[in-house]
Amino acid sequence: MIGSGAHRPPLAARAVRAGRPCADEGGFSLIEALIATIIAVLAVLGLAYTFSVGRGQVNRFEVARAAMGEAETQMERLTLLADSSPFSDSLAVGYVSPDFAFTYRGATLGTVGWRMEGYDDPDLPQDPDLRRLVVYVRWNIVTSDSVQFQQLLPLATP
Amino acid sequence: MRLRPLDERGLTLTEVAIVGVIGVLVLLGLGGFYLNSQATWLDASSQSVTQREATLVLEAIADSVRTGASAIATPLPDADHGQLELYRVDGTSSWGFWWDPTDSLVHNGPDPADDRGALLESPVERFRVEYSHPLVRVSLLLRSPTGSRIEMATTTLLRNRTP
Repeated sequence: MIGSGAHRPPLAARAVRAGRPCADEGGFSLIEALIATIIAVLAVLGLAYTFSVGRGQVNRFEVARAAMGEAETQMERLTLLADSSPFSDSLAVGYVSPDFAFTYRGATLGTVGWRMEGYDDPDLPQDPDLRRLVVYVRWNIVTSDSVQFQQLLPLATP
Repeated sequence: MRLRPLDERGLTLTEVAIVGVIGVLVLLGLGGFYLNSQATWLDASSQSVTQREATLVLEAIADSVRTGASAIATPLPDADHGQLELYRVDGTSSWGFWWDPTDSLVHNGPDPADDRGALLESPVERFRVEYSHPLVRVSLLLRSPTGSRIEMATTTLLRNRTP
């Protein structure tokens, strides 16, 4: 705005003529502008961070769903093995399998494995009464993650 | 001689121009950020919906497979798309899943002549079914509305098979 001193209050006009700073000068100081800018930048950065975190979670769950499918597959295969060969060494209590590769879209992302534990049902006299088959898929993208399935099987006694 | 008033206030053209340029830069930055964020949001949400659809389809197929006694998996119309027919212990057809080329979706029903509709909305680029008694393997590749591809696979055991 281009203006003249016609509408300036007499006090301010006198202060300007006397070379003194005007008491009712309006506007923002440099410090205020800087603080406002920093707050705005922080707000925008926070917003951007939430978007990137959300996007990362979607990708994380994409791999987790694939891992779940892999764990289900392994569990079904081992259940079939438990039906057909209940005394298989791979299903003996205490057995821990070697790690196999977990691949997704052609890339190896982690490992698949299983272990067999004894399971004690407190309401049954034996200890252990059952076998607990634990199938796990572990992968590491940015952070370590895993999916684990468990299933109880009858105790194999020859 | 004409004197300039001592208390002249306001902005010069240069100041206005600088402020204008800075304002335009800020608006461009904010606009770019907004558009980028919106694109990211759309991509992420459509991808997560497609992931859920893939899980839903696989779980629906797995539930049907578990109740089945036998199955027939046919690559139809090509190796990447197939048809899965499930049968009861008495040999009668129980349920089926197939890829329909007219809409690129996976449909289900007692048989293709009695189509009960599509199981999902995202286009299916691959619906591969393999049967190796008593295991049925299903592999899916879906495309989200924003073009992301979601791949999932699972293997299920026919629980009602005859020994």
